[in-house]
Amino acid sequence: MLFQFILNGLTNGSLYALMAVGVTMVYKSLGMLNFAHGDIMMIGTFIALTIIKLKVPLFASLIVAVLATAIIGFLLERLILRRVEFSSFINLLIATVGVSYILRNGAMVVFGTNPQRFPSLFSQFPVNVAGFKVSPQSIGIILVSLTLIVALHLFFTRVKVGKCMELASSDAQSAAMMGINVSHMRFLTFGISAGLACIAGALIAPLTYARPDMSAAIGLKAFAAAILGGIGNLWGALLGGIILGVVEALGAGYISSAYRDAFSFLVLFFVLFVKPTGLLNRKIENKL
Amino acid sequence: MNKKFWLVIVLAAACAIPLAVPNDYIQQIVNMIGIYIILGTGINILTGYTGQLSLGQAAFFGIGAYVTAILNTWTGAQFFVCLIASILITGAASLVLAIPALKVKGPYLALLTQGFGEIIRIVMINWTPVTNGTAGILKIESPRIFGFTFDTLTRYFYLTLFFVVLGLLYQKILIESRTGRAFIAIREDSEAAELTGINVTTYKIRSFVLSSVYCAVAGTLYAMMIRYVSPDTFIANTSSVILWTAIVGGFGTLIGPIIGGVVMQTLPELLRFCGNWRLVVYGIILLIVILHFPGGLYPYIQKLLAFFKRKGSR
Amino acid sequence: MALLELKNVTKRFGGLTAVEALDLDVQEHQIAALIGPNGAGKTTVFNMITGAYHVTEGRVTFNGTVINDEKSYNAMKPHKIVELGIARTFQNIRLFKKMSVLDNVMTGFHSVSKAGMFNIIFKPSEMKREEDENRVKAMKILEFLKLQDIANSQAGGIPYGTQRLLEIGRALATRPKLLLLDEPAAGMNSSEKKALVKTIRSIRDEYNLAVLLVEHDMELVMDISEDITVVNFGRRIAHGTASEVQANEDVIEAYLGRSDD
Repeated sequence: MLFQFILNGLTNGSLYALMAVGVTMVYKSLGMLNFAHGDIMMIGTFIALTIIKLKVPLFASLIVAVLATAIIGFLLERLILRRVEFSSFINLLIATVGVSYILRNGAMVVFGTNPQRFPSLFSQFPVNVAGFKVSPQSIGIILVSLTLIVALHLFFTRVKVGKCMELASSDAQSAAMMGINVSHMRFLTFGISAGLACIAGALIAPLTYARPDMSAAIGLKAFAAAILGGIGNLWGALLGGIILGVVEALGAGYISSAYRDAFSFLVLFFVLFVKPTGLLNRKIENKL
Repeated sequence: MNKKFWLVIVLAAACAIPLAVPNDYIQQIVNMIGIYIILGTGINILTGYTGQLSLGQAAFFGIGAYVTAILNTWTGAQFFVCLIASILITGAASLVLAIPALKVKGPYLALLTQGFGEIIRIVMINWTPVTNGTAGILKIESPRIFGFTFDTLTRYFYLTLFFVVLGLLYQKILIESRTGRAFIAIREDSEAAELTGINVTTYKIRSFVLSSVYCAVAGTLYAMMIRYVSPDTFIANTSSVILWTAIVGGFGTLIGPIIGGVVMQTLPELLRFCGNWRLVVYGIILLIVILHFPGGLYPYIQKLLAFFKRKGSR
Repeated sequence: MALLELKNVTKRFGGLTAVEALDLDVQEHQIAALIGPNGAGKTTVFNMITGAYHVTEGRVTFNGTVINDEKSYNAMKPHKIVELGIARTFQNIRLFKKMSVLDNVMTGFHSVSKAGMFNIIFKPSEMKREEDENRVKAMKILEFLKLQDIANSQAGGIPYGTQRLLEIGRALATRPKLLLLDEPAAGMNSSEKKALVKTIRSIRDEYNLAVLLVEHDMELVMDISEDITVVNFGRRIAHGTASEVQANEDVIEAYLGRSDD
């Protein structure tokens, strides 16, 4: 049992991590939580589903959907958030909440409110490994998520564009002085973040079905994971996602599965109360 | 003197509203405007004046409504008992949220309050023996006060109006008092406020609890008007609408919540012609308002009024 | 006994020592100054006096009460210290910008008045009386600072020098026994500075309080201060009257050694 719970926890946790990475990237460059991140994931999932229904092969559909979602991310940045950039943070936050509202209600109209089956990249039939039942789907999700996060890390540390993006979001002023186009870099950040969300959605949907309201809980958990690990920190997002997934799975398994989501929010409360800077970020002395 | 005169005129006009309402459908919208003005005033105090963002107001609204629904259907408790119980329990819940909320600010606070809203909704859905799960609670009685039953929507309008006026009046006096200045000082610069002798911690808690009390009153009014509560009403969308109610009118202005309540409740009705797309169009319009009128509509309405005044005096 | 007494006060941030073993006294009714080159730790000292920072070692006593101490349970919250009678202004003005000038001063009365949220319902007349009294007192402070004509303007919109005065007005409303001024002359021209010296002296006499100021303008400091403490790299290098300090070798070196000051 315990093994099964932990495997479930790792599976969900790596998905939360994938979402949290997107949240963390955008936070670093915008200084703001993107409250529409979960809804971008949901839209990406439905785009993928729509293409799949056109009898396009699964893998090709996903690639197209990721690109399309990335474009939505670009548009969000260019059409909306850029316009509120210089006004107050409350307005920026409310703008992302507004986008979330529009995307969610729009999806309900276009795709309907009924849950829809979503084909999986991996087999869902469990295999016996050394006496434990392991589903290839779980292993696939964990591997894909880990691979993407490691690849992203390499992109930010080894590839020139990635390095520029990293600098532009952590220190916009010096980046601009070095001739980096900060605004283009932010544009890219939003695109990559949205693309990752689409992949996360396509991995989650076979487990939960595609629904317009799939975004709310997962979006919140992505924030929780990002903050738990220490916002702005890639490895923090991974760590936070996995801790959250495992805590939630254990809580659901041993206490009550109806309150599964509540456990992650309680973790979030606890983190914000005890160490708002997260696990991997250093504490900064409160300068009153 | 002049001000009091206008106040009486406005109140009289408000009392006459039901005369102009053709049917119950519209009367219910008008009553909902009242309930949202109360909700908007609550978040206006918290976010507009004290600067503490909340995306979880629907939770307090919901707790208020559920406490009323449960008390009334289980024990037959009447309006004032339900109201006081709602206020006490919602206030206690807001204290629980205020403790972690004190440690964080900005987007983290928004997130914390949103998470709280989700937890409350999960409890509403799953604590079936008490909340009756997703089916909700039916057959809540209409309020009876001193033998008078508010069983029609028109009668209910006056009950709602009473609390709207009370809520707005309290907001006005509070904001112009020592407490209100402390709230605004915290919004403007919380560190300078602390160094001016304001106990920032307790005043943030007060603001939180006070805004939840407004939600509790609105919740009681809502439950006894619709006479049915279910978890579907108290979702994240509702929290956003409550926040917008205060923003669209003008955050941190005394009559912002009135403008917001009217706009936010009538707009979806005016957009009926959009069919299924109406909530999407609604969202887009609100987004445009936020982008182009960051201070809300109130300053523009003020300018417009000043313009007419100048024209009139000529 | 001194009104304010810092004894052997040290403040470290991580490995960095901002203030080391500092002694500082301010007597009642005295105008004292704390000077030193940039980054000498002067603002850190203010932050320890007002309770914004905890001291790492040593003790701060005000009027016989310990207000900040290495044992953190002895350290008072900033708003409590304001109630005891220490008020401050800020180097980079921190008014409540969207409030009126009058309301900024009224906010200063917070710790010396009582009305709460329930008084509105239960004791409205008492609340109104207190509010009226405070408004009269606030207007008196504004008149004293010659700001009465702009009482209803928005604080964020008045000129820079006036904002500095208003900050002093807000601080005076808390009825301080000690007023801390953080670079009160910054951004002022020479005639404004002369007026400021007069204002500070008359505040001291009118409100019967002590003043401790941090200031870069040496002429102003030497002109106004009765007692000067010089710090460099977080340590006290000299202490005394203006002429004593000016003759001190260490002080001359500290200032002339740094051409940027």
